[in-house]
Amino acid sequence: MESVWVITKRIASMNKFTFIIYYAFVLLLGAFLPIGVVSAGGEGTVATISGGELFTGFFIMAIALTSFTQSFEYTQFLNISRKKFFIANFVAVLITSLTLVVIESTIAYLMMKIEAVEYTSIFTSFYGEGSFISRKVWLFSYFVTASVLGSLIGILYYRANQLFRILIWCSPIIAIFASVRLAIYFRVDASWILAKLFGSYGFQSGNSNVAVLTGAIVTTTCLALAYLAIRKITIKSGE
Amino acid sequence: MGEIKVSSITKDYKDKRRALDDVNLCIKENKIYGLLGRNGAGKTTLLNIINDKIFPTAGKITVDGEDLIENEKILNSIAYMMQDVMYPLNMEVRELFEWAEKFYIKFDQAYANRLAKKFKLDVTKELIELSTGYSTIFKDILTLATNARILIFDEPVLGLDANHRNMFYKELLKSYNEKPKTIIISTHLIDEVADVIEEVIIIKKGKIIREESVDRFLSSAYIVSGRTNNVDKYLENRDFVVEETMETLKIATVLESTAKKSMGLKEELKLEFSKVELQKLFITLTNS
Repeated sequence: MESVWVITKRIASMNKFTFIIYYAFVLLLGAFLPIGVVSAGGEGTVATISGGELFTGFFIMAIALTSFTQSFEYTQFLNISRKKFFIANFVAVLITSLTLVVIESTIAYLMMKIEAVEYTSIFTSFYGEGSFISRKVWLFSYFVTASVLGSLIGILYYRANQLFRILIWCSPIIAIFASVRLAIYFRVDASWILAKLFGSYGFQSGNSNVAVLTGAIVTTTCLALAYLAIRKITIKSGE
Repeated sequence: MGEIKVSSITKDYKDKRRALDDVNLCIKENKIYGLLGRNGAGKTTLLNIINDKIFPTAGKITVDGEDLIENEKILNSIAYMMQDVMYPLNMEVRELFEWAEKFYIKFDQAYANRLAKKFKLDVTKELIELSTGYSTIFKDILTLATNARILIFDEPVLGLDANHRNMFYKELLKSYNEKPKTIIISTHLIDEVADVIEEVIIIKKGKIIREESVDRFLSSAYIVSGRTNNVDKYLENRDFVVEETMETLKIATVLESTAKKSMGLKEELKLEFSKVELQKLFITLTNS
């Protein structure tokens, strides 16, 4: 277990500079936006900031996707088993997500302290105020799901040949196109699909626990697929 | 401890290319092996399979009787110096030594630093700043310092100057003499490694064509030289490869045991016998 913890620390710390740059940029934006708004609109003007966590989710997914190759090959270089890497990678995802929840919460707190800023979190936009715990659990679940999804795509991308890699990049467009075609073919009402989709994230009911549960299901599915994919993964170089 | 058994390993790549064809090997513990083969013969594929980096299409690898695949204990007892760069290039040399210490339980940090000093490897440099030669030196030092009971080197002197190559072989033998271990060296610099290795494995087009001690291997052929017609007479009914013909002189490698040398014919035909070099014999066997 000790070595799992060592690998976890290594993987978790691999992207620390990327996160430092990201949050330095966020803080700079947070500091200069109100100044800009007030100087443009005059005293009493308020800048509305929202959606920061959503963007961080995309960012963490991209990081998980792009850093897979480096962290996997590094552990292979040190002759660490795939299973141990898989466990360590997931623990690193949990630690990173938890750290990001703390950072995001601190940023949100600071933003709300600035008079010239009207800060609304994504959670508030979707589910209302909610309790402190439900807000943090939702954010944590969102970050974990985004990271695990990113890792899964990273694994599949690493394993794939050139053609499959192109397919992975095009998959969001293909998925949307296929869904639309299928909906038309089966005469399914698009609003019904959207209602189901929003329902699964608790947007209509305002219940964030539904989103957490959906996140847990997506995470578990992605982890299972990632485990299956990683068991037979081989290094790309030297073949 | 440190015996590797390769049983009926076959490796087919997706492009239908067969890299290894029913390879069977028994790499005995505490011996130094030279894995020799021409480019594309399957050396790196075999080493990657022995290190669980890629999977065979068929067959099995065991180390000390235990299955290798995903075996944490076995993997920790093998240090593999790969040709490829598989570590973050923005890390400093000393940082990677520190990390290696955390994964390899017997890693000797002081020894790694001593070797770095000896080879004049600046441990404060980032890996991306290292030249090809120093990149190889870094990997060599890291592998040696793991103190693993199986050390595998894939082209350990790539890009190294003659002095550094000599230093590496000396350090390798020193490490081996102090703590015997199983060592496999895959290299193209056969002449240089000839004095280091005890056993030789020759791989050709994915098949093992020779697996024996260097002495035995070298005694499986000899060189005959003399006047062309006399050499030709000696070579009658013998398996041979002509090395050189210069006007009236001829040199040939005879592919038969040195014990079968005909001393009578040697005297009668005024021929000279000499020992065959490892590299020459390797070329002879792999060219055909």
